[in-house]
Amino acid sequence: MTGLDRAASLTGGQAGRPRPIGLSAVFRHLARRPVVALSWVVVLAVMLVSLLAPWLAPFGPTDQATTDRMLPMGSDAFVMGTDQFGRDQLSRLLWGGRPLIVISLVSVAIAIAVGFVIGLCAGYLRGWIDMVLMRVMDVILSFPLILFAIVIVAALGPNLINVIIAIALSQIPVFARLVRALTVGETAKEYVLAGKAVGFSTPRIMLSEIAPNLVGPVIVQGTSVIAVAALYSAALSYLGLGIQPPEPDWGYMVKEGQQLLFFAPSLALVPGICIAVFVTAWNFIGDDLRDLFAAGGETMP
Amino acid sequence: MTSELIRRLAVLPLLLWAVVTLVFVLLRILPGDAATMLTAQVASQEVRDRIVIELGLDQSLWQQYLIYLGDLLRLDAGVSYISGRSVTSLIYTTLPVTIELAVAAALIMAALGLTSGMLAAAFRGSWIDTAVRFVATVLFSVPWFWLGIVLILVFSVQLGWLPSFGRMPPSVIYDPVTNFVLIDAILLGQPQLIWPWLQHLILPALTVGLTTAGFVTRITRASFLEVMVEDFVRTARMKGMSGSRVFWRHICRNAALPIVTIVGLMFGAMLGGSVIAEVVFAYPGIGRMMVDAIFQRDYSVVQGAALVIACLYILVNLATDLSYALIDPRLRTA
Repeated sequence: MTGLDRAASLTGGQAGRPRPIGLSAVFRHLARRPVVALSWVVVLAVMLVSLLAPWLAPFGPTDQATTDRMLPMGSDAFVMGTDQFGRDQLSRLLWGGRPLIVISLVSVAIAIAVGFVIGLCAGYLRGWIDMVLMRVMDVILSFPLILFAIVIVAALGPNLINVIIAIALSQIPVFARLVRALTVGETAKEYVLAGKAVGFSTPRIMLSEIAPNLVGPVIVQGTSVIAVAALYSAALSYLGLGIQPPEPDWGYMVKEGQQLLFFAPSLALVPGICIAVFVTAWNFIGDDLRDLFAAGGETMP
Repeated sequence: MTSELIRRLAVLPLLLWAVVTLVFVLLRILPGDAATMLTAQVASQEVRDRIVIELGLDQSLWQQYLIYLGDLLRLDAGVSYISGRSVTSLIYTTLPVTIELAVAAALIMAALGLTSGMLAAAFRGSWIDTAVRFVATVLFSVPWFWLGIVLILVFSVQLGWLPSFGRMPPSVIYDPVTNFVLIDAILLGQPQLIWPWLQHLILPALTVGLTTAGFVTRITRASFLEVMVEDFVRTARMKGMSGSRVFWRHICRNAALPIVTIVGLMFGAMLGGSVIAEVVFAYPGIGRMMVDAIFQRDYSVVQGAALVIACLYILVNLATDLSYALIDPRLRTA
């Protein structure tokens, strides 16, 4: 057993399918773990507020009031003040979470879908297919993943779709490896042998016999990866490789605010706090699910 | 172990070749390739044609690829289109900066992560444990660049203790030999170089070290908790072995394997994190050079930098795997 396997097994390793749980059990569990309950509230609130930004924001996110530049927090019409272009900081904060949320959720969904197929094929079919697929994953993992995402965006050009593609590609190996390991474990079990004996076709065994048993651990891992994807998205946009200005985005708002750190620190600090709170909440949720289902390994930042 | 070593070393060139090819493919075949990007900015057709020929972009992709591989074997990674310097020499000046930063960050990460993880394990279930785990989770959830800015705000703007950007004050001029300041200071006998260098290094290293420490904390805690309840620990205690001897000889040694793995793997996250930290602190390392080159469409520099970082990462991972044998004799025969 390699060190990595042991590191993974320490945090739960892989385990059986999640039991169905009633809603009251969920509430009882959350009542015992207030931090996790709060995290769910935070995640849902951030998503709801971002969704409702067009109705909640007092101003347009790119509207410039040229006479009201650099107003401090608590100014009459501008609760959070304005930036160097006279844009309302509160409106920009309300809008600025949208790219981060969309990117992190969609890229992880894509990474799960592709990684699932790759892992399932490699783990069940084995042989040269397994060899080729896993060596390709190894090559991607030869890069620090954030660097891999940066190179992809650099090649494709910075915009929402390309950032999603870059982050999804960088996370596919994470799911492919997890699903492969789980599939190898499941394949050895009797129900798969039974399926073969009955004469089920290979695709049927893979999709309707094995796959459903892997969904739980993959979703648990997915919640932790959402946190990582959100951090990557923020980092890319801080580097100027994400959503292009003047569209509001928390990561880029930190970068713009950094130039004015001496005069108005809140311009850089507040959007950063928003990112940190959102990511922290996802991490607490991910930890909790991992404890509950004893599934998935640690997710590297 | 020897066979394992040979196998890993045999795979190494293959892996490096795959990485080299991937970087080539990414930067050439994808839409927005170097040729169009570079020449789009140039006004006259004549200049455009000359650039295309100079860069060998008029040849087929296969020819370009073979030329590129041949050049790399001779350690020629091309010439920067912007500065006119060879990419190899640019890497020679910027890579040591990043290695310094990553090593300093790794020391901070390991020191903080190990002590806090052991502390949490020792006081399992107490408020110390809860607090350490909470802080650890928050630390690795904070965006790297934002933590850097907070540190600038506190230590540079408010307290005025540490500089907020650069690697050396402009007043310090010296002829670098290795570009590692510490080694240069010794070689040149100029100890006055060290303090200004350290001052500039602290904040970027803290940024990367703090954001990665949380992860080491968790692994350390989990690893110690697992080993502490093993039978051989109880047996050692039963034999009347002293607490500290049990701790160092039995618990630490067995808990170390996953921790070493994670610290090694985190070195990759650290190289990635230093890219960001270098941008925040205008620290002249290879990551910042790469990001600048992306915006200047200086593709040979992007290519060279990405390759070097990936190779470094691969080598560190290899070293990590091989170091298991030193810690765990059971793996030597495997």
